[in-house]
Amino acid sequence: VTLFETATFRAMGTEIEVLAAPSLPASVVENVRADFEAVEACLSRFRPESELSELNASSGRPFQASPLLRQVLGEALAAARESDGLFDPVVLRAVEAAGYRESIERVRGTLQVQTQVRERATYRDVEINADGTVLLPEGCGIDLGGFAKGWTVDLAGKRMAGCRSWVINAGGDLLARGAGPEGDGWVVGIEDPFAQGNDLATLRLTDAALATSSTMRRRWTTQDGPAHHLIDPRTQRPSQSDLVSVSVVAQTVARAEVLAKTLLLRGKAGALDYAESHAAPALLIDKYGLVTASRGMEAYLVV
Amino acid sequence: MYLAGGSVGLLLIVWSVLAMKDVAGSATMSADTSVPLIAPEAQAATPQPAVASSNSSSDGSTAKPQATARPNATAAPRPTPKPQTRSRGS
Repeated sequence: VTLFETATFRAMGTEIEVLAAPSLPASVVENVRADFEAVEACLSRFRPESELSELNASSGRPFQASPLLRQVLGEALAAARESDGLFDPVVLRAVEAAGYRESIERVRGTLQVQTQVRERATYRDVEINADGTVLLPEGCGIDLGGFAKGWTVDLAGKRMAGCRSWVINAGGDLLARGAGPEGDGWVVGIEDPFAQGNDLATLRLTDAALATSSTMRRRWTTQDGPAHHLIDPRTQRPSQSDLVSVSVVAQTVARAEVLAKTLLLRGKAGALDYAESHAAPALLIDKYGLVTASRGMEAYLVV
Repeated sequence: MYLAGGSVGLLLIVWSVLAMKDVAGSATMSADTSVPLIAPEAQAATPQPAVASSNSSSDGSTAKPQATARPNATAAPRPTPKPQTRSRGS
């Protein structure tokens, strides 16, 4: 018996899935879709006409930014400070140098050439001024990618007020509200990074956000071998972490996204302590497929 | 008279035996359906004589073994529920 309804659409280079119990009005889905389209139009680095692309093209001089761009960028910079720079939106030139210059579908289709990053800057070098302008260091760029996606899920959640219990899932970054269709939480699979379509673990979520960062999904081939999109700001190269996938439960999707990325970049040796000191229930999967759960995750795991 | 009285007595005996079998059957069904709702720990602490005594008052041969087998059946792990959605890496 189906106790909930679903709808899907594409945005931000991924599939957006909306689930609601017991029913999902079409008008709600349209409002959620409108939020994703509006944020993507403003913050996509793949759209030359987006405001983010204009900002990146204006590095070295003040750029008058919209409230939306200032808000998302401001929150991303705050998250970067909290992570001591392991999460850093000022990695656009490094992502491009690794070969990720177009949408992932196009990048996968051709052999990419890796280049060296010439301009090195961090979140500390970005200014958001009281007059509404943003100043980027010359030659540097912002990539709000996964952070903007998670932020949009949090935003779109406000459109679901008419639904009793619901989930918005943007390519694996999701927000769950209410007790689910059967009253004991939404059942969410954590995908096996080595076998897409299969799950390595199952969680039950009630009023929680979940994000998964992985180096196994957005991958492509370069003249130097395989590469992926998760840049380590310390090296400005794709991460060499011994973790390949990290899932984190948090109160907001944007925070879960930042924590998942931070833990993955810290590697297995440094991830557990960080997760527990930040009260971030996490599931770590290393390059051998070994799964480790941090303290607090047992409350969500379905055994 | 005696024949008629004896027939009535025989019918009463047959009726009461059938009725007792029904009671035993109900007790068995009740035990079967209620077991999955009891947590294994709680079940371990639940006294068994209640089920056993209902068996002993009937013909007793069918329900008793099932009642003792039930705790093992509930100790088996519940199947993992099918995910309603999935978190894949991004």
